[in-house]
Amino acid sequence: MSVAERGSTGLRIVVSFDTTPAGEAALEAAIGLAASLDAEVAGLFVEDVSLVRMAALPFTREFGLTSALLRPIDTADIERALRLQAQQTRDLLAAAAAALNLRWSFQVVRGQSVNAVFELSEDRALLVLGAASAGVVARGSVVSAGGRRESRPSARQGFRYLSSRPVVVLFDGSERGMRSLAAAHALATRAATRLTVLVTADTVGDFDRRRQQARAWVLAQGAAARYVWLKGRSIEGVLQAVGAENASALLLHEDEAPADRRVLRGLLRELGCPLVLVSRRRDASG
Amino acid sequence: MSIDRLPPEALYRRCDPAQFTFETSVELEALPRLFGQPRAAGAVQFGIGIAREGYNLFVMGSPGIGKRTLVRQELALKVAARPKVSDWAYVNNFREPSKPIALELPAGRGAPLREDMRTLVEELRTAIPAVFESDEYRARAGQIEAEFSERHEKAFTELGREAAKDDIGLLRTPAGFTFAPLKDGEVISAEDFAAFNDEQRSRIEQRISELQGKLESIVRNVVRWRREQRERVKQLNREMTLFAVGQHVAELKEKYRDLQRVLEYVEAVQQDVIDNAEDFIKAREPQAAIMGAPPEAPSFRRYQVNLIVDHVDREGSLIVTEDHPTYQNLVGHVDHIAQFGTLATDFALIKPGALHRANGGYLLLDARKLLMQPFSWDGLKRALSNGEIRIESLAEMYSLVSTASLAPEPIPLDVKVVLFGDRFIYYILQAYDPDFRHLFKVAADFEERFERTPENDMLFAQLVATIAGEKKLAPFERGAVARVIEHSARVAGDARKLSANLEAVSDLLCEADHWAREGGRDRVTAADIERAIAEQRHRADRLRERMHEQILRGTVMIDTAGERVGQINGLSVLQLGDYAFAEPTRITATTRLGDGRLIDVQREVELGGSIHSKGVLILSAFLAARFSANRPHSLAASLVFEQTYGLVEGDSASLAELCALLSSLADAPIRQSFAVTGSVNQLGEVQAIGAVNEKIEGFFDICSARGLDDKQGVLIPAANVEDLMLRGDVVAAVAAGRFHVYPVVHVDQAIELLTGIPAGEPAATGGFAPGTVNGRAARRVRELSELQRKLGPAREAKRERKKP
Repeated sequence: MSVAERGSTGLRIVVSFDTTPAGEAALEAAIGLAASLDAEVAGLFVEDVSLVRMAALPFTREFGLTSALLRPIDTADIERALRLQAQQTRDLLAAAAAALNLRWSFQVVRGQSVNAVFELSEDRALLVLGAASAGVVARGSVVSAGGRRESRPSARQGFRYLSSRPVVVLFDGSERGMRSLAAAHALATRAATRLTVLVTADTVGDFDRRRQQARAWVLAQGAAARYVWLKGRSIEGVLQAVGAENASALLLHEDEAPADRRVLRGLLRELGCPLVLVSRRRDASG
Repeated sequence: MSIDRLPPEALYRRCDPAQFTFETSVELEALPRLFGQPRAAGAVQFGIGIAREGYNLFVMGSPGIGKRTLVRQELALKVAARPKVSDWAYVNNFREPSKPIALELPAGRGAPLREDMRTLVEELRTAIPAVFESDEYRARAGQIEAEFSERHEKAFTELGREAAKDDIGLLRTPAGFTFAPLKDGEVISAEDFAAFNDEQRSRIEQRISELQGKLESIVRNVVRWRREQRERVKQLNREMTLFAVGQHVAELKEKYRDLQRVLEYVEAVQQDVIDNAEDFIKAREPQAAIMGAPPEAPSFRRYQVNLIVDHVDREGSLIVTEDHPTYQNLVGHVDHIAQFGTLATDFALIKPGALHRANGGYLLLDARKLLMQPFSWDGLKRALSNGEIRIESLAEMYSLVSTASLAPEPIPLDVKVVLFGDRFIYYILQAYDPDFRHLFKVAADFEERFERTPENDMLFAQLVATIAGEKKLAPFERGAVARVIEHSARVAGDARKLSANLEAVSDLLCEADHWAREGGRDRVTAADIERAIAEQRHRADRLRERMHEQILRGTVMIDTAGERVGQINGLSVLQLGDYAFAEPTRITATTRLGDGRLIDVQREVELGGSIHSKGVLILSAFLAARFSANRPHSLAASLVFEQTYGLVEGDSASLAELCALLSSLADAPIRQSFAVTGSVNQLGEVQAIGAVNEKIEGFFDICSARGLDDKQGVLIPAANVEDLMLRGDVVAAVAAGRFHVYPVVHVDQAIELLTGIPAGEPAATGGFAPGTVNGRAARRVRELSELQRKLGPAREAKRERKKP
């Protein structure tokens, strides 16, 4: 599905979507990173198996978000809706990629969204997780459904979602942290937005040292950033900091992500913005 | 009854160069004002000076006589005294864009306002996005959004937790939400659900139904919260925009604090900017193409100032001449531009008319051009009557297009209109347009000629100097100036007058200058003037030459020697544009028994004009009164202009016609060496005619070409003697006794000279002496009358026999 034959770094950025509007923000992040790193965007639409299962139940009713009306729903309805949404997502990706002259591909899979994404993206450089479903309503999803669907900035070569809120990166002073910082800087620069560095440190001394380290690198790029101390690395702490910053995307190295997929799904549900996992591959930061 | 020939001195009134004290025209001062038009100048001064409604001017007179020059000279003196003049601009009406607002500004302040508004928009294009990109705005907007998110997330989370207590999950679907029973955190399958007993299934469904009711309540609240959030964001946007705009607007307000309407406009601009701040943000973003059309950035046209009247050069711009007075050029119009296949417009496309530019000053228009343009006259009258300029679309007025147009606010009008035209137009308008007399109360009537006095000769010399100076001509010697004055008298057709046709004078001077330069002279001499006159005549002379050629060849029969009964040489003038010439025309008359009817062949075939016919009828009356006062007029006569094939108009041939008739009646041959011009009245008195110089020269040219025999000459009305300004060769021939000009006052003088037979005075007992022309004519009339009397009964009987 490549749309352009041109020199490439061979990098592949996988972005996952599901039925929630959070996918649009994820697409914006993925496009921004791909444009910065000259990478291919690989779209992965996950048809949530929970929805299919739900629709098979005999009494199921869907409550329209806009109409506030109850209506019966069956498996065929869900199948059709998923196909339609996959097509719309594909079109969205195609338009955004074409606008920036990026190579792209698109794939539809069925399963538990996060699990499916990890299984199908082993050769990724970056993984952008926009999927927030898996059964329960996630933070921010209702807002997205009503308020942002009409604005499709990536298709317009703009980053309306990203540009209005800061890109946040988790930084621990390590090499992996530097690579996450580099990716976050690239994304913030492309989206013309601010960069917030969540410096993880247990002590003030560690925070100062790592902040200086990050700051020196950021300044060397001719940029600026905001630095926030994140004491400890608990999921709650990260969620609280990201919420306080009203982040448009969170970047962290995949080694820092919860290994447990259930925990990761929980993080995604509560995060309210796309989660970008920087791969262990060394070229992930460009 | 002897007639004295005119001496050569009477044929040409010279202008003696010796009366001038200058050598060349460069020694003379330029004329500050046009002279010779005291009546018109007074009217113009009055019309310009009186500041009352309806006192506009109609300046009338022939083309080229200096109407515009005089008016401009007078206006130039008055312009400085006009106290009130304004710049005018149209700006957007933010409440009703279809009704643009007219702003009046003191002269010279329109352009700064336009520039200030342009600068304001430029600054806001930077300042407003900067405010919206600021940390403060982002933080405050984020707070509003976060508050909203927290609010609804809390509601959804609580609902989800409440559902989870009963192992029910809240799921998001492509179009909304649903609830489904869970098992180990996953949605249960249909098979597992089927395995539940009826009570379990009923309980689950009951519980889900309850949760759906709560979900409905939350969703309705979300809609309300979202509306509140939007309002708060809008309010925040207003605050931030006001911050960005306020400083700039305050500066503008300070600058224009003395202009209340400008202040109101600036306030409206500020409010509109606040309401549409998004436009300034969008302007910095790349725009997507719409339906294949190129992307269009948000337009800030609505903040433009359309300066339609800009008095940068205050004095010069107060006198406006509109050479093409169409309705649109006069009153202004509203342009349209094509957008996506339709025509759109706005206040920035309002175009001013001449009335706008002249507002506060003077508008000069050519009446004929104005009247020839559809709707222009009505448009001008409407504007003057209402005292305002209202731009209206003609197409819309007449429902020719359905495109939306504008109704710009009318602009108060204070203008003095000066119309230039000929008298015909003036009197037509006076007669048929009742508005005209109310709107154009001052008529300035220019003379075509003015008195030829020594004082005016001197002023004329100054005029020559003025034109020569303006047109950078070589100096004119005083002899040349004198020759120009003589020529001007000739053009005036009166030796006592000078022509007021400045354009003709100017042309003559330019052409004489040309010939002088061709001859390598640095001064224009009388010979150069003579050459210029001759060349002008030659260039226009083709037709005269052809016609004279036909006479000389005998194609057109004109005798210049010998005698013929009932045949005479009349003189006809042909006017071709501004060039006139004359040629002799043979007029013949025959008489016979009849019932007193005089047949004018020209009239019978409708080739005679009404004035000509009147002249012929006067002849009939004269003959009847003179020869048949006491008996039936039993004469029938016919008059013919031989070899004429066009319309004959005027009565200047009536003397010749009467002489031809008398010749026929009296059987008295007329000398063909004469040509005759003049009109007569019922008493036989000879009256003045026009173009006497051309007529004499026309006959002279034919005689001269055939060879002068010392007997040839022209009879003219004595009343025309003072009009004579004959060509030099004619005057020379007269001086040499080879050609003659005879002034006559009565037909009897003429017929005596033409026939060599005494005309005959009426005797005290009535009748005329036998042997005289009148006596012979009277005898012939009596014979005819007697014959009529004898034939009368026989004719009566014949008519009776013919009755059925």
